[in-house]
Amino acid sequence: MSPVLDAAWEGLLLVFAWPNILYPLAGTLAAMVFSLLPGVSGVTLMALAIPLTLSWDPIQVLLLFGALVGGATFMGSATAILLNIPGTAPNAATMFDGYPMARAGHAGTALGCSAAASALGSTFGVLMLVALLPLMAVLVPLLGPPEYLMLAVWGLAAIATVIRASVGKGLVMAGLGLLISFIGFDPRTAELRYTFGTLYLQDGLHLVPVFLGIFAVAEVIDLMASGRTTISGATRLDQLAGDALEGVRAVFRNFGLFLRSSLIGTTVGAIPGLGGTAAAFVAYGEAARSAGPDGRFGEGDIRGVLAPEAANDAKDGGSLIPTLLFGIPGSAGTALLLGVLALHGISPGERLVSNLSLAFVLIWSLFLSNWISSIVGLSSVNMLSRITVVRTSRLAPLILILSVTGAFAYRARFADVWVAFGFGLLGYAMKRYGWPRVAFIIALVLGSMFELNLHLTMRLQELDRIQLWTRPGFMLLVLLLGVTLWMPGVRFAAEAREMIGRARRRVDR
Amino acid sequence: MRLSRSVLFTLCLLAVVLILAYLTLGLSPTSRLVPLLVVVPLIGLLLVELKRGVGGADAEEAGAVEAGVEETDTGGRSERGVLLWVLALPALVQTLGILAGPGLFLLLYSRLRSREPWVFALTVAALTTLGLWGLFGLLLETSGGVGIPLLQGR
Amino acid sequence: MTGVTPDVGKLQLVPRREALRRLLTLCGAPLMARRPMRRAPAAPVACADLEGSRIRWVVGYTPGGGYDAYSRLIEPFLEGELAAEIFVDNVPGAGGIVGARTLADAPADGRTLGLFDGSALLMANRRGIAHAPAVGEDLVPLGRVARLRPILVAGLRTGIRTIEDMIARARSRPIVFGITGPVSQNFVSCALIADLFGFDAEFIIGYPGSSEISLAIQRGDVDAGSSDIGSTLSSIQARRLVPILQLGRRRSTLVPVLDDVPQLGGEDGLAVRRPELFSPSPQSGTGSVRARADQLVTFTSLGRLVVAPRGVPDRLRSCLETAVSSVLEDPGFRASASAANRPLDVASAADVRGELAEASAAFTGLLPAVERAARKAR
Repeated sequence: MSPVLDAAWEGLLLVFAWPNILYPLAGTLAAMVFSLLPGVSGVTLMALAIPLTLSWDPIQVLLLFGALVGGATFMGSATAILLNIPGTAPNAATMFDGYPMARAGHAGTALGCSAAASALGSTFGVLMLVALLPLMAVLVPLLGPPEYLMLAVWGLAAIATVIRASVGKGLVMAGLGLLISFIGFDPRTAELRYTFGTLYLQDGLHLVPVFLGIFAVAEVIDLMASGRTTISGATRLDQLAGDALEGVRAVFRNFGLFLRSSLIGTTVGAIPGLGGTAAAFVAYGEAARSAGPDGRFGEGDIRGVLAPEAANDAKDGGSLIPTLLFGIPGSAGTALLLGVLALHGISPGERLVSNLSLAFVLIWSLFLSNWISSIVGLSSVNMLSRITVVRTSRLAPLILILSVTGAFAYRARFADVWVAFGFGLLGYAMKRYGWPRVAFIIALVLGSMFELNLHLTMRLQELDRIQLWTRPGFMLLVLLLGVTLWMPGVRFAAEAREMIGRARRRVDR
Repeated sequence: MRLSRSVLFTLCLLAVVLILAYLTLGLSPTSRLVPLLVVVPLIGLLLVELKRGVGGADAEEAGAVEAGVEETDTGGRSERGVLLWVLALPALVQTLGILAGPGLFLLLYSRLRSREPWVFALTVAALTTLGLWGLFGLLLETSGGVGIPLLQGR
Repeated sequence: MTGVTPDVGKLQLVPRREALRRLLTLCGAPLMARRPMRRAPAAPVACADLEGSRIRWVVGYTPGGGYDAYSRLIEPFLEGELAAEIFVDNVPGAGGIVGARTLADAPADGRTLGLFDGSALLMANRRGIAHAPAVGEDLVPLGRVARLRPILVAGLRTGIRTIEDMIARARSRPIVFGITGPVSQNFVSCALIADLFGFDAEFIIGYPGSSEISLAIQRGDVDAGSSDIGSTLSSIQARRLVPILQLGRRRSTLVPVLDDVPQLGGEDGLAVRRPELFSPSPQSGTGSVRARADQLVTFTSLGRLVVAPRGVPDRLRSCLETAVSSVLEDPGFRASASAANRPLDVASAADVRGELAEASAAFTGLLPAVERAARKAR
């Protein structure tokens, strides 16, 4: 057997050794319970656990932390689907189609799809990690600012697909999202942009309160103002259509999309500094693009749930690649993990790679907890779907309070609560007057990644450090982008022709 | 020419964008490059939208624009009521703190708007407050006079 | 980061071990078999006002990072020393400025303390970054835990192996440095090094962190960069990065690879041994080559300082200083820091105040060269 497989086997034995197996179980369950609260993510729980684990054996620490990260992701998407509340920032991409599905009475299907995509996505991520670990030392250094730039552009280009109903308004929203993403300290020049002299805006607007506002609060206002009796419109569970199995089957029906999304997740996850939010959004964009004209993205297309969920869980495996190889964290979770391991005297790059079985303990724990949480999640789909038939008069104030909690729990600032509600009003106005919120959010998420890497690429080019056209990754992404832009471009042209035609007719009259 | 609320919203967006555009001009070349590339076409697009809105083009496509938008005529009054209720929550949290604020909100909402019975309203409010105390007082460290005071606003 | 901060490391509220202990007790009792050992037994000093109170320890960076790790190492020992409960509050943002401002604005009653990078704060304040508190004035030092140990590293493929190589290479084309931001430690170090040795340099500013710079050097995007020895050690040992110059007064001999890497300042530093390498007419600093090198070192290595807001009453402050210093000297603390691979370089509050004054004066001399480089880099 190869040393990697040997280490994998050894790691597996360590996981199942008594009482080690209790750690991933307890960690997953704790993470599932607590991540139902918005603002509490796997990373929060890890931070909470640091002092507790100082005297533990490193194996147990790895087991617990893998499980905390793995267990928290499913619940984050459950609240995104059911209440339009993203449990963590990456789950925001799941809301775009998950919540419309819940509104249409298909919460069960969306939840089933999310659970299956998560479990399989994480499996894909782990397999890729194992397969690529020997290759990655060569691959990761090939990716630099030009490739990150193209990834951001590719993600932004997806906006073109989701705004087909109104290209003009969609572009305005995208532009506004970009501008808002530039708020704060510009690290390249140490200048402050659009902060109006406040300390609060110096670090930019944080995603979680903005997401909570634009989606959750706005949705509650709409729910209350529209006089809808429940989220799904149905008042009894048996009136809901679709079940969890249908969602699971959707993953297999769209297996190609699943593989592509997982690949995006693993790749973006492997790039330090990009993070899971970018992974989920880029995968969503790819799904929307590849679906072509028959997609109903933003209106409850199940592929819009599948893609970000698969990517979000596949990224965990990917984010371990630079962690294990270079000691460079690929995500918030791995950053914290490295810090904790350092407290135990383990510095990655030395002991962690030379002691691969230890790394596999973490990988297996992550893997196991993803499956446990998906199975628990699947079996509780009916219970969870019940939320969509709860009367608005009872549910609405609770969602509002959850939003407050999520905004506040993030870092205990009252200003975050106001930001959430301010964006709630904005989101409601956007919804009411037909300005696509999805375009706004995608631009907001990818804006700074776009700007920073554009700047770095331009500087590298200016100083003659890179040749764009000789970079395989860059060229591949340019090609993909070309395809992405082709189809909406055609439609845009068609719409423009139609508009001109309409104007002419008006003039003629 | 009619100035509907939809057009007013577009005008608000335009005002915000114009302010940001003005602020952009004061930045160094590096910091303003991308914002300028965004803000200039943005103003153009907004003007086009404004013209379409004033021309009544919006009415043609309303409803088709975003998922789940049902153009229910909610009437200004009920919408205003909803907004007041929604904004009451952060105001209560700000003044009474993260425990009492939501609790009181839930109690008032259940009694005054949903017309639930007292028992229900009190139970839900108490349970919520208890849950928040569990989260902020026990799990996340905010109690005891340091960090964020639980029982007071700012 | 500008604008919207990505989800990386965004943390939230304050960890509370009691709570998690309870939580996990509920979930699985066997986990609790191994409780952490806490509370160093120490004779409480006379900070009677603080006894039994809860102290907020502000860290301007995310959990898991160096400042967080040191804080959590100090926490149990200082709790024992003060007979108070301490909780670590991570307030990240704008390179530590958000946290530092939070601390500076907190009541000066000894119940809010923190751990910050003295050099970074001094630089941010002197370069006029909004809201950056003045360390030494808005924030008073209680002691130093460790110094940063910046080191200049180059890429393997550049062929640069020594500082002489670097100077020679710069004659044909400028050395390109990877930089996080114009008020960062790595920018000031690299800009001043180029100035001291009188070579031509270009800066690519905007890499999100030192690990991204390290990757950029390995890719060949940039030639060189400066970062802390601790975070680059594994790359140096794996021979992916070449150590060129230690930017301190004492040579670190942490690992054998560093034995032959010279240091800039101090008694047997490069400035003393090889003054001919330095530019005769740099735009930075004053005095001899050695004095200028030492100014750079002084300014960039104020280190990780325990600080309190301005205005803490004198008695309380001196008692806090004593408490901090006895924790930092505690053999138990030293053992746990060494077990966690966290090097210490402890100094008393009085020493830190002296260094602050020195660094502040040094910066006045260094500022023009830094600002010139910053203008060029735009």
